Amino acid sequence: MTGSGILSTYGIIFMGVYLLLLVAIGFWGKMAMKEGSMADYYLAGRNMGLVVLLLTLYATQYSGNTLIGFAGNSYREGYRFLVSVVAMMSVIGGFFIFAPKLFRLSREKEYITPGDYFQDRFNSRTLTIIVSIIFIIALGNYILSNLKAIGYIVEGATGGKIPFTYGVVGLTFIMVLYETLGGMRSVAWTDAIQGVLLLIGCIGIFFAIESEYGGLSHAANVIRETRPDLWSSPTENQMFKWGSTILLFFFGVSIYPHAIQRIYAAKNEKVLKTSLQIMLFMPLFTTFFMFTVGIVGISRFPGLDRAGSEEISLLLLNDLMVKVPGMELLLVLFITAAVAAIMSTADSALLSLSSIFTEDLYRPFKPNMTQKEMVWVGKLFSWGLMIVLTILAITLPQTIWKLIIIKLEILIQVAPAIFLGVHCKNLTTRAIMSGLIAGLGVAILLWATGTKFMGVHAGVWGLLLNLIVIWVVQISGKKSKTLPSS
Amino acid sequence: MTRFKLFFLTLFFLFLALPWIPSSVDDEPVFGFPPWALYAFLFAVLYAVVLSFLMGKFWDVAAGDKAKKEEK
Repeated sequence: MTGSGILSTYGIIFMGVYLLLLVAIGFWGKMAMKEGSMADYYLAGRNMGLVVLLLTLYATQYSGNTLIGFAGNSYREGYRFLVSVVAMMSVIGGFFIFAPKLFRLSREKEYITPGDYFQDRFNSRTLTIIVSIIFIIALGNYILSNLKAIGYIVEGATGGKIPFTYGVVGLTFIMVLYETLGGMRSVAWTDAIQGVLLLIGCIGIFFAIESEYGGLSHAANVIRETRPDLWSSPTENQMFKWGSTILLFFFGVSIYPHAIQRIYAAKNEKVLKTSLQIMLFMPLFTTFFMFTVGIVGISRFPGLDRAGSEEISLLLLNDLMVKVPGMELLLVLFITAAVAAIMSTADSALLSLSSIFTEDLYRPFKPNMTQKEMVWVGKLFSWGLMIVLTILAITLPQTIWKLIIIKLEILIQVAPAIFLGVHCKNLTTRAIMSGLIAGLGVAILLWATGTKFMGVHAGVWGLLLNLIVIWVVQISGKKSKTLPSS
Repeated sequence: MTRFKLFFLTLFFLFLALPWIPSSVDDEPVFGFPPWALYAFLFAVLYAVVLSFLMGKFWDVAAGDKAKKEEK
């Protein structure tokens, strides 16, 4: 079914040119490959400079959800959604706990995947496999949700001229093509372009609504009078939820495997440090700007339901287009930025998944494979996985869809093994494994039953138990060592 | 500065950025924010500034270097 799309024909051509550019960068990345080893393919030869590392970290951390979902959330939750700004900053706080040490370990021991760290630190194949499976489930979900989002954006932006299925299949094909051509180089270089587009999109829409609608100052007066529920300070339960969200980001988002691999890929420590220092301030220009869009949207388009609120950015842009000449360009940039943001997140997750499968799950069974053969296995895995995920994105019913979005709740259970593991030499594999199993059990149980004590996420309760179990097992292990043998 | 103190500070400033100031509907907007939200936003900015400083100054401590020297 086709209707009046948001993008004009010129807009669609612009997006087409952008997509072709991504493929060209894929070939460029292939030509820049030096030895075709795993480190060369998956970590860009561990030689990523400041600009590329910063932009790839930025584009990977901020997905399409930032441009579309954040404004929608802000519209529904009002000022309470300011938590998103703090939460995105807290991710860098999480990095600061483990990245300096992990970077040095990765250079010393030549890690390629997060699994390499687990195997080296805890020397347990079982733990490495469990963690790898958790990563695969979390990242698989992540890619799947991004593929679905991309389909909806393309269909909506073109007014159905490009249907959902074609959008998903076409953009997935382009993504896997450039990823398998040049590996991390292609992904990071395309991320750099996508990051710039994302930043331009956020800054553009922020200043447009500031100048045309009076920004936060005007919206605040309207909200105070018409939506007092969104104006007053959070209740006790909402405060707990606020804190819980921050913890979920601090411990969960910071250990995304593709983020960890960017730590490995940094050219040197100074580059990594400077990138993280700059990343700390990016929520002010990205998350906060999209938060403002949602708040202004409340005053401009009151009474939207959930589905309507998800389109608040586009509604405001459409409204601006009527008022201000030349605003169509911003709209085209914004839509392209949204697609770019989704692709940059999904391609990074895909590359990471491919390395985890090859290095941590397949290689132990084929230890004599050459580096080039392993890279080929990874590429084949990428194509196979994306075919499966594309089919799922197109066919999965919405009811099942809701059931599988649990990524952060389970991912966060791996955090102690990284946060504590890099610093505490005496931490035992047994303690980590026990904590992980206990944490996973509680998180899945609470999440499956929909229980949310005091507004705190299931994953955070799981993490709390996880840490308690680690402490108990660690202490009991020490005591049993000091007791005289009977 | 030990690693423990450093990581404690990282979490402490995050804790400060929770919206601790209660406010009601009667409160006037300040720069387009309700007072509690302005507090949370300003402390979020402070968190970024402080953490950026800590990263620049104590990166090696976070990596375990100076802490070792101090232990010796």
